[in-house]
Amino acid sequence: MDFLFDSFVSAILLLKSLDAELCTIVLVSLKVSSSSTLIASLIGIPAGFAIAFREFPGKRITITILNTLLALPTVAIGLFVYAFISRRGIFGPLDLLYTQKAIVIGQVILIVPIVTTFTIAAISRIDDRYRKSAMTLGATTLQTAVVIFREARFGILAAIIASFGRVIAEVGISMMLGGNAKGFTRTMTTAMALEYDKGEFALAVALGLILLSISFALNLFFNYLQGRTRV
Amino acid sequence: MLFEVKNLTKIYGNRKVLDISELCLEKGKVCGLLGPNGSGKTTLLETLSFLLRPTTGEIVYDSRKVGFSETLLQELRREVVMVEQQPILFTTSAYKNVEFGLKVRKVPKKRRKRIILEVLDLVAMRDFADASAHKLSGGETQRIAIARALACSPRVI
Repeated sequence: MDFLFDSFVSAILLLKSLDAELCTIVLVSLKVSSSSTLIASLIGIPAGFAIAFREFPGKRITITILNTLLALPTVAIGLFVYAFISRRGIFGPLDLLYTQKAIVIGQVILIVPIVTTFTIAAISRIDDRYRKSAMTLGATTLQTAVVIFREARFGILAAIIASFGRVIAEVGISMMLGGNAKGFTRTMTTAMALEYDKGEFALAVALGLILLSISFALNLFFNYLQGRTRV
Repeated sequence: MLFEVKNLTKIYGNRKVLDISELCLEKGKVCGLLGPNGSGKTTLLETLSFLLRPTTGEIVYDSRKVGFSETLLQELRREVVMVEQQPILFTTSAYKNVEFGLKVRKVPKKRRKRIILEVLDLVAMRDFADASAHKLSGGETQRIAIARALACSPRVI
Protein backbone atom coordinates (compact mmCIF):
# COMPACT_ATOMS: atom_id res chain seq x y z
CA MET A 1 0.00 0.00 0.00
CA ASP A 2 3.05 2.28 0.44
CA PHE A 3 3.41 2.85 -3.28
CA LEU A 4 -0.17 4.15 -3.44
CA PHE A 5 0.46 6.59 -0.59
CA ASP A 6 3.80 7.70 -2.12
CA SER A 7 2.13 8.14 -5.53
CA PHE A 8 -0.62 10.15 -3.92
CA VAL A 9 1.89 12.49 -2.24
CA SER A 10 3.88 12.86 -5.50
CA ALA A 11 0.61 13.52 -7.36
CA ILE A 12 -0.30 16.33 -4.97
CA LEU A 13 3.17 17.86 -5.47
CA LEU A 14 2.75 17.62 -9.25
CA LEU A 15 -0.62 19.32 -9.05
CA LYS A 16 0.75 21.99 -6.75
CA SER A 17 3.68 22.77 -9.05
CA LEU A 18 1.36 22.96 -12.09
CA ASP A 19 3.65 20.58 -13.97
CA ALA A 20 3.81 21.59 -17.68
CA GLU A 21 3.27 18.04 -18.99
CA LEU A 22 0.33 17.52 -16.69
CA CYS A 23 -1.27 20.82 -17.76
CA THR A 24 -0.87 19.97 -21.47
CA ILE A 25 -2.49 16.57 -20.99
CA VAL A 26 -5.41 18.08 -19.08
CA LEU A 27 -5.88 20.82 -21.68
CA VAL A 28 -5.84 18.32 -24.58
CA SER A 29 -8.38 16.16 -22.76
CA LEU A 30 -10.69 19.09 -22.03
CA LYS A 31 -10.41 20.44 -25.58
CA VAL A 32 -11.14 17.10 -27.25
CA SER A 33 -13.95 16.11 -24.85
CA SER A 34 -15.64 19.53 -24.96
CA SER A 35 -15.53 19.57 -28.78
CA SER A 36 -17.02 16.10 -29.11
CA THR A 37 -19.70 16.84 -26.48
CA LEU A 38 -20.64 20.07 -28.26
CA ILE A 39 -20.88 18.41 -31.68
CA ALA A 40 -22.77 15.39 -30.31
CA SER A 41 -25.20 17.73 -28.51
CA LEU A 42 -25.83 19.69 -31.70
CA ILE A 43 -26.69 16.41 -33.44
CA GLY A 44 -28.25 14.42 -30.61
CA ILE A 45 -30.57 16.98 -29.01
CA PRO A 46 -32.47 17.94 -32.20
CA ALA A 47 -32.52 14.26 -33.26
CA GLY A 48 -33.87 13.16 -29.87
CA PHE A 49 -36.40 15.95 -29.94
CA ALA A 50 -37.61 15.03 -33.43
CA ILE A 51 -37.86 11.33 -32.54
CA ALA A 52 -39.75 12.00 -29.29
CA PHE A 53 -41.99 14.72 -30.70
CA ARG A 54 -43.08 13.13 -33.98
CA GLU A 55 -44.86 9.94 -34.87
CA PHE A 56 -43.35 8.13 -37.84
CA PRO A 57 -43.10 4.57 -39.13
CA GLY A 58 -40.11 2.80 -37.59
CA LYS A 59 -39.98 5.01 -34.50
CA ARG A 60 -39.78 2.09 -32.08
CA ILE A 61 -37.07 0.28 -34.01
CA THR A 62 -35.09 3.56 -34.23
CA ILE A 63 -35.22 3.88 -30.43
CA THR A 64 -34.26 0.22 -30.02
CA ILE A 65 -31.25 0.69 -32.32
CA LEU A 66 -30.18 3.82 -30.41
CA ASN A 67 -30.48 1.96 -27.11
CA THR A 68 -28.35 -0.85 -28.55
CA LEU A 69 -25.71 1.66 -29.63
CA LEU A 70 -25.34 2.72 -25.99
CA ALA A 71 -23.45 -0.51 -25.43
CA LEU A 72 -21.04 0.10 -28.31
CA PRO A 73 -17.47 -0.64 -27.10
CA THR A 74 -14.96 2.17 -27.62
CA VAL A 75 -12.49 -0.21 -29.30
CA ALA A 76 -15.15 -1.19 -31.85
CA ILE A 77 -15.68 2.49 -32.69
CA GLY A 78 -11.91 2.96 -32.83
CA LEU A 79 -11.60 0.10 -35.29
CA PHE A 80 -14.55 1.31 -37.38
CA VAL A 81 -13.28 4.90 -37.65
CA TYR A 82 -9.74 3.63 -38.27
CA ALA A 83 -11.00 1.74 -41.33
CA PHE A 84 -12.20 5.03 -42.81
CA ILE A 85 -9.37 7.38 -41.86
CA SER A 86 -6.29 5.14 -42.14
CA ARG A 87 -4.10 5.65 -45.23
CA ARG A 88 -6.02 2.92 -47.07
CA GLY A 89 -9.44 4.25 -46.00
CA ILE A 90 -11.64 6.53 -48.10
CA PHE A 91 -10.81 9.51 -45.88
CA GLY A 92 -7.11 8.59 -45.80
CA PRO A 93 -6.02 11.61 -47.90
CA LEU A 94 -7.42 13.92 -45.19
CA ASP A 95 -4.61 12.80 -42.85
CA LEU A 96 -6.87 12.54 -39.85
CA LEU A 97 -5.38 9.51 -38.15
CA TYR A 98 -3.48 10.24 -34.92
CA THR A 99 -4.89 13.76 -34.65
CA GLN A 100 -7.24 15.33 -32.12
CA LYS A 101 -9.88 15.52 -34.89
CA ALA A 102 -9.80 11.73 -35.20
CA ILE A 103 -10.46 11.37 -31.47
CA VAL A 104 -13.33 13.85 -31.71
CA ILE A 105 -14.91 11.90 -34.62
CA GLY A 106 -14.75 8.65 -32.64
CA GLN A 107 -16.06 10.23 -29.46
CA VAL A 108 -18.96 11.89 -31.29
CA ILE A 109 -20.00 8.46 -32.61
CA LEU A 110 -19.74 7.13 -29.05
CA ILE A 111 -21.95 9.75 -27.41
CA VAL A 112 -24.52 10.75 -30.05
CA PRO A 113 -26.67 7.74 -29.00
CA ILE A 114 -26.32 8.81 -25.33
CA VAL A 115 -27.42 12.40 -25.97
CA THR A 116 -30.22 11.26 -28.29
CA THR A 117 -31.68 8.57 -26.02
CA PHE A 118 -31.45 10.76 -22.89
CA THR A 119 -33.17 13.57 -24.81
CA ILE A 120 -35.91 11.20 -26.00
CA ALA A 121 -36.41 10.03 -22.40
CA ALA A 122 -36.49 13.62 -21.09
CA ILE A 123 -38.99 14.80 -23.73
CA SER A 124 -41.19 11.70 -23.45
CA ARG A 125 -41.57 12.24 -19.71
CA ILE A 126 -43.02 15.72 -20.24
CA ASP A 127 -46.77 15.80 -19.61
CA ASP A 128 -48.70 16.17 -22.90
CA ARG A 129 -50.75 18.93 -21.29
CA TYR A 130 -47.75 21.27 -21.71
CA ARG A 131 -48.01 20.82 -25.48
CA LYS A 132 -51.78 21.28 -25.48
CA SER A 133 -51.58 24.34 -23.18
CA ALA A 134 -49.00 26.04 -25.39
CA MET A 135 -51.00 25.25 -28.54
CA THR A 136 -54.35 26.39 -27.17
CA LEU A 137 -52.73 29.66 -26.08
CA GLY A 138 -51.83 30.26 -29.71
CA ALA A 139 -48.23 29.05 -29.89
CA THR A 140 -46.80 27.97 -33.22
CA THR A 141 -45.21 24.54 -33.60
CA LEU A 142 -41.77 26.05 -32.94
CA GLN A 143 -42.98 27.98 -29.87
CA THR A 144 -44.61 24.78 -28.56
CA ALA A 145 -41.33 22.93 -29.09
CA VAL A 146 -39.50 25.64 -27.11
CA VAL A 147 -41.98 25.20 -24.21
CA ILE A 148 -41.38 21.45 -24.16
CA PHE A 149 -37.62 21.94 -24.43
CA ARG A 150 -37.75 24.32 -21.48
CA GLU A 151 -39.71 21.86 -19.36
CA ALA A 152 -37.27 19.07 -20.26
CA ARG A 153 -34.12 21.16 -19.77
CA PHE A 154 -32.79 19.32 -16.72
CA GLY A 155 -33.05 15.95 -18.46
CA ILE A 156 -31.28 17.36 -21.51
CA LEU A 157 -28.57 18.96 -19.37
CA ALA A 158 -28.11 15.59 -17.66
CA ALA A 159 -27.65 14.05 -21.12
CA ILE A 160 -24.89 16.53 -21.93
CA ILE A 161 -23.13 16.00 -18.59
CA ALA A 162 -23.36 12.20 -18.84
CA SER A 163 -21.92 12.37 -22.36
CA PHE A 164 -19.04 14.60 -21.30
CA GLY A 165 -18.33 12.22 -18.43
CA ARG A 166 -18.31 9.30 -20.87
CA VAL A 167 -15.84 10.86 -23.31
CA ILE A 168 -13.45 12.35 -20.80
CA ALA A 169 -13.12 8.94 -19.15
CA GLU A 170 -12.85 6.78 -22.28
CA VAL A 171 -9.50 5.34 -23.35
CA GLY A 172 -10.10 3.03 -26.37
CA ILE A 173 -10.90 5.68 -28.99
CA SER A 174 -8.25 8.12 -27.77
CA MET A 175 -5.59 5.42 -27.85
CA MET A 176 -6.54 3.87 -31.22
CA LEU A 177 -7.29 7.05 -33.16
CA GLY A 178 -5.12 9.55 -31.30
CA GLY A 179 -2.06 7.40 -30.85
CA ASN A 180 -1.13 8.91 -27.47
CA ALA A 181 1.36 11.39 -28.99
CA LYS A 182 2.89 13.54 -26.22
CA GLY A 183 1.70 17.13 -26.37
CA PHE A 184 -0.75 16.46 -29.22
CA THR A 185 -3.11 13.58 -28.62
CA ARG A 186 -2.15 12.41 -25.13
CA THR A 187 -5.28 12.63 -23.02
CA MET A 188 -5.67 12.01 -19.29
CA THR A 189 -6.81 8.42 -19.75
CA THR A 190 -4.18 7.43 -22.34
CA ALA A 191 -1.49 9.05 -20.19
CA MET A 192 -2.73 7.11 -17.16
CA ALA A 193 -2.57 3.85 -19.12
CA LEU A 194 0.96 4.69 -20.29
CA GLU A 195 2.19 5.65 -16.84
CA TYR A 196 0.72 2.43 -15.45
CA ASP A 197 2.64 0.44 -18.09
CA LYS A 198 5.82 2.23 -17.07
CA GLY A 199 5.18 1.61 -13.41
CA GLU A 200 5.13 5.40 -12.76
CA PHE A 201 2.10 6.00 -10.68
CA ALA A 202 2.54 9.62 -9.58
CA LEU A 203 1.32 11.20 -12.83
CA ALA A 204 -1.38 8.54 -13.22
CA VAL A 205 -2.73 9.24 -9.73
CA ALA A 206 -2.54 13.02 -10.32
CA LEU A 207 -4.53 12.63 -13.52
CA GLY A 208 -7.02 10.38 -11.76
CA LEU A 209 -7.51 13.06 -9.11
CA ILE A 210 -8.06 15.70 -11.80
CA LEU A 211 -10.57 13.46 -13.62
CA LEU A 212 -12.56 12.99 -10.43
CA SER A 213 -12.35 16.71 -9.65
CA ILE A 214 -13.70 17.61 -13.11
CA SER A 215 -16.56 15.16 -12.66
CA PHE A 216 -17.29 16.59 -9.19
CA ALA A 217 -17.18 20.18 -10.48
CA LEU A 218 -19.58 19.31 -13.32
CA ASN A 219 -22.06 17.77 -10.93
CA LEU A 220 -21.79 20.75 -8.59
CA PHE A 221 -22.52 23.04 -11.54
CA PHE A 222 -25.50 20.86 -12.54
CA ASN A 223 -26.90 20.97 -9.00
CA TYR A 224 -26.39 24.72 -8.86
CA LEU A 225 -28.29 25.19 -12.13
CA GLN A 226 -31.13 22.96 -10.92
CA GLY A 227 -31.43 24.89 -7.68
CA ARG A 228 -31.20 28.28 -9.35
CA THR A 229 -33.69 27.73 -12.18
CA ARG A 230 -36.31 25.58 -10.47
CA VAL A 231 -38.88 28.30 -9.78
CA MET B 1 -74.18 30.03 -35.18
CA LEU B 2 -70.64 29.96 -33.83
CA PHE B 3 -70.04 26.23 -34.31
CA GLU B 4 -71.86 23.90 -36.69
CA VAL B 5 -70.70 20.32 -36.60
CA LYS B 6 -71.82 17.54 -38.96
CA ASN B 7 -71.03 13.80 -38.95
CA LEU B 8 -68.01 14.26 -36.69
CA THR B 9 -66.09 11.13 -35.75
CA LYS B 10 -62.78 10.45 -34.07
CA ILE B 11 -61.34 6.95 -34.25
CA TYR B 12 -58.25 5.68 -32.40
CA GLY B 13 -57.25 2.30 -33.85
CA ASN B 14 -60.46 0.29 -33.87
CA ARG B 15 -62.13 2.42 -31.22
CA LYS B 16 -64.61 5.11 -32.18
CA VAL B 17 -64.38 7.65 -29.35
CA LEU B 18 -66.59 10.33 -30.90
CA ASP B 19 -69.61 10.10 -33.17
CA ILE B 20 -71.77 13.21 -33.50
CA SER B 21 -74.23 13.54 -36.38
CA GLU B 22 -75.08 17.19 -35.73
CA LEU B 23 -74.26 19.87 -33.18
CA CYS B 24 -74.85 23.62 -33.23
CA LEU B 25 -73.49 26.09 -30.68
CA GLU B 26 -74.77 29.65 -30.60
CA LYS B 27 -72.69 32.78 -30.14
CA GLY B 28 -72.63 34.35 -26.67
CA LYS B 29 -74.11 31.34 -24.88
CA VAL B 30 -72.69 29.35 -21.99
CA CYS B 31 -73.00 25.64 -22.77
CA GLY B 32 -72.65 22.64 -20.50
CA LEU B 33 -71.55 19.26 -21.77
CA LEU B 34 -72.70 16.19 -19.86
CA GLY B 35 -71.89 12.55 -20.45
CA PRO B 36 -70.56 9.42 -18.78
CA ASN B 37 -66.84 8.59 -18.61
CA GLY B 38 -65.38 7.76 -22.00
CA SER B 39 -68.26 9.29 -23.96
CA GLY B 40 -65.90 11.70 -25.75
CA LYS B 41 -66.47 15.01 -23.92
CA THR B 42 -62.77 15.91 -23.83
CA THR B 43 -62.29 14.72 -27.42
CA LEU B 44 -65.15 16.95 -28.57
CA LEU B 45 -63.79 19.97 -26.66
CA GLU B 46 -60.27 19.39 -28.01
CA THR B 47 -61.71 19.13 -31.54
CA LEU B 48 -63.72 22.32 -31.11
CA SER B 49 -60.57 24.02 -29.74
CA PHE B 50 -58.76 22.95 -32.92
CA LEU B 51 -56.23 20.91 -30.94
CA LEU B 52 -57.34 17.62 -32.46
CA ARG B 53 -58.13 16.74 -36.05
CA PRO B 54 -61.33 14.66 -36.44
CA THR B 55 -61.19 11.43 -38.41
CA THR B 56 -64.20 12.43 -40.49
CA GLY B 57 -66.81 15.16 -40.48
CA GLU B 58 -67.19 18.85 -41.00
CA ILE B 59 -66.80 21.79 -38.64
CA VAL B 60 -68.05 25.24 -39.56
CA TYR B 61 -66.71 27.94 -37.24
CA ASP B 62 -68.19 31.43 -37.49
CA SER B 63 -69.58 30.63 -40.96
CA ARG B 64 -66.14 29.41 -42.14
CA LYS B 65 -65.60 25.79 -43.01
CA VAL B 66 -62.56 24.60 -41.05
CA GLY B 67 -59.71 23.18 -43.11
CA PHE B 68 -57.37 21.17 -40.91
CA SER B 69 -54.03 22.49 -42.14
CA GLU B 70 -51.62 23.42 -39.32
CA THR B 71 -51.33 27.08 -40.41
CA LEU B 72 -55.08 27.55 -40.46
CA LEU B 73 -55.53 25.75 -37.15
CA GLN B 74 -52.93 28.01 -35.52
CA GLU B 75 -54.96 31.04 -36.61
CA LEU B 76 -58.19 29.56 -35.24
CA ARG B 77 -56.54 28.57 -31.96
CA ARG B 78 -55.92 32.26 -31.30
CA GLU B 79 -59.72 32.70 -31.15
CA VAL B 80 -60.64 29.60 -29.13
CA VAL B 81 -58.81 28.83 -25.88
CA MET B 82 -59.36 25.68 -23.87
CA VAL B 83 -58.95 25.58 -20.07
CA GLU B 84 -58.64 22.03 -18.85
CA GLN B 85 -60.29 20.58 -15.77
CA GLN B 86 -56.84 19.91 -14.33
CA PRO B 87 -54.69 22.54 -16.01
CA ILE B 88 -50.93 22.44 -16.02
CA LEU B 89 -48.88 25.59 -15.61
CA PHE B 90 -45.45 26.13 -17.14
CA THR B 91 -42.49 25.83 -14.74
CA THR B 92 -42.13 29.54 -14.11
CA SER B 93 -43.98 32.27 -12.21
CA ALA B 94 -47.74 32.81 -12.34
CA TYR B 95 -47.10 36.16 -14.07
CA LYS B 96 -45.06 34.58 -16.85
CA ASN B 97 -47.71 31.90 -17.34
CA VAL B 98 -50.33 34.58 -17.99
CA GLU B 99 -47.85 36.43 -20.19
CA PHE B 100 -47.29 33.44 -22.51
CA GLY B 101 -50.34 33.88 -24.77
CA LEU B 102 -49.69 37.61 -25.07
CA LYS B 103 -46.04 37.07 -25.93
CA VAL B 104 -46.83 34.66 -28.76
CA ARG B 105 -49.32 37.26 -30.06
CA LYS B 106 -46.49 39.82 -29.95
CA VAL B 107 -48.39 42.21 -27.67
CA PRO B 108 -46.09 45.13 -26.65
CA LYS B 109 -44.54 44.79 -23.18
CA LYS B 110 -46.30 47.78 -21.62
CA ARG B 111 -49.73 46.64 -22.81
CA ARG B 112 -48.90 43.09 -21.78
CA LYS B 113 -48.24 44.15 -18.21
CA ARG B 114 -51.52 46.08 -18.01
CA ILE B 115 -53.53 43.11 -19.33
CA ILE B 116 -51.79 40.62 -17.01
CA LEU B 117 -52.47 42.70 -13.92
CA GLU B 118 -56.08 43.20 -15.04
CA VAL B 119 -56.80 39.50 -15.47
CA LEU B 120 -54.93 38.60 -12.28
CA ASP B 121 -57.21 41.06 -10.48
CA LEU B 122 -60.21 39.46 -12.15
CA VAL B 123 -59.36 36.06 -10.66
CA ALA B 124 -58.13 37.59 -7.37
CA MET B 125 -54.58 36.33 -7.88
CA ARG B 126 -52.60 39.57 -8.18
CA ASP B 127 -50.75 38.87 -4.93
CA PHE B 128 -49.52 35.60 -6.42
CA ALA B 129 -48.06 37.16 -9.59
CA ASP B 130 -44.47 36.34 -8.63
CA ALA B 131 -45.29 33.01 -7.01
CA SER B 132 -43.86 29.84 -8.47
CA ALA B 133 -46.65 28.26 -10.54
CA HIS B 134 -45.85 24.77 -9.27
CA LYS B 135 -46.25 25.81 -5.64
CA LEU B 136 -49.85 26.96 -6.11
CA SER B 137 -52.78 24.91 -4.81
CA GLY B 138 -55.22 23.17 -7.17
CA GLY B 139 -57.74 26.01 -7.01
CA GLU B 140 -55.08 28.69 -7.45
CA THR B 141 -53.69 26.79 -10.44
CA GLN B 142 -57.15 26.76 -12.01
CA ARG B 143 -57.55 30.49 -11.45
CA ILE B 144 -54.17 31.24 -13.07
CA ALA B 145 -55.13 28.98 -15.99
CA ILE B 146 -58.38 30.94 -16.41
CA ALA B 147 -56.45 34.24 -16.21
CA ARG B 148 -53.99 32.88 -18.79
CA ALA B 149 -56.88 32.15 -21.14
CA LEU B 150 -58.67 35.46 -20.46
CA ALA B 151 -55.49 37.43 -21.16
CA CYS B 152 -55.63 36.20 -24.77
CA SER B 153 -59.09 37.82 -25.19
CA PRO B 154 -60.44 34.76 -27.01
CA ARG B 155 -63.85 34.69 -28.69
CA VAL B 156 -64.54 31.29 -27.13
CA ILE B 157 -63.34 29.70 -23.87
